[in-house]
Amino acid sequence: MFAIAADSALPSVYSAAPDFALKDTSGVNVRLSELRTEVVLINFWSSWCRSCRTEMPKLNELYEEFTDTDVQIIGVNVDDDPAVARRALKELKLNYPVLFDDRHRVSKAYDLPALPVTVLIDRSGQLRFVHQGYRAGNEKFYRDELSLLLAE
Amino acid sequence: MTMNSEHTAWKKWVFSTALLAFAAVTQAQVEEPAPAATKPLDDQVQELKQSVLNLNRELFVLEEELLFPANTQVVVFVSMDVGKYFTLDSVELTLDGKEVSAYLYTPRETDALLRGGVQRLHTDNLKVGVHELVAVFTGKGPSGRDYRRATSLSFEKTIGAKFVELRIADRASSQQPEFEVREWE
Repeated sequence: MFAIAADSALPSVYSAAPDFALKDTSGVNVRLSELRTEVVLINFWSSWCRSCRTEMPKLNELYEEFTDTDVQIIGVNVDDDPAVARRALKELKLNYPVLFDDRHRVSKAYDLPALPVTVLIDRSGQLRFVHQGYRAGNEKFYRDELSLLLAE
Repeated sequence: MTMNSEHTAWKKWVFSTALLAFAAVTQAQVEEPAPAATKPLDDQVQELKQSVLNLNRELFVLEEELLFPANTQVVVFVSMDVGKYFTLDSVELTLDGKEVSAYLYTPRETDALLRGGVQRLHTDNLKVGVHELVAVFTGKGPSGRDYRRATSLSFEKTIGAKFVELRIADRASSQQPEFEVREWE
């Protein structure tokens, strides 16, 4: 559950998380490296991915739970058209920031094999946990891992 | 001499030789001067950290020299002046028709540019000869309208590093931003 197989395309654990900048829903550019010193959870998703849409409300609950801590939860949408993503977001009613990777530069940098993919990055910018796919109860692992990284 | 007595004599010889050797070693150890006082652990850790930092710096310089040797190196910088008439959002850079950089600027980065920072946007290797650079600036222009402007530079790459600056400045006379590309001599 925690480790990714050696032949996975994703960046390996304990490597530097590939830096990127993307626009959020307000049109403001957000850069990952500016979140250094915080614990970051990035969830890659798309509007057509059913597992993603099941997982995201759980991530929203986590976001509420970790408010006022050094945890940042960010969604990265990989739809070709941000308008499609925005329609999905209206239904999901998320409170955490969502960025648009419509040119797929970030999904290429992270070499996503499938969706959803959730990565956790520690305060020094290193990838520490990588989760491919979603199964009910994954949020418990995310909670434990976030707590672990916060305590470091 | 019988076998047994020969064996016993051999054993006595080996034992006495070993005893003499042990005594000699012990004596040598006793006569060795006392080792110099060891440095405090904190000092040793600090020295080790400094060595690691020095090594890291040398490796970085070596990497730059290997990846971008001075003979073929081209570096493109971005700078901004004032910024009253333009808020920078992104720069797309094309070299000889190939997109090499598409950089989005966060509010923090834009602020750093306005404060006089100069950003190293892109480093590349180019052969000697004529090359074309095209930069497309996107942002908010006067009155907050979307603004998109391109500027280009045709330059000759000779032996030696080439430095190009993309400069965004306010032109008060027309109350518009101006975008210029210039080579550093």
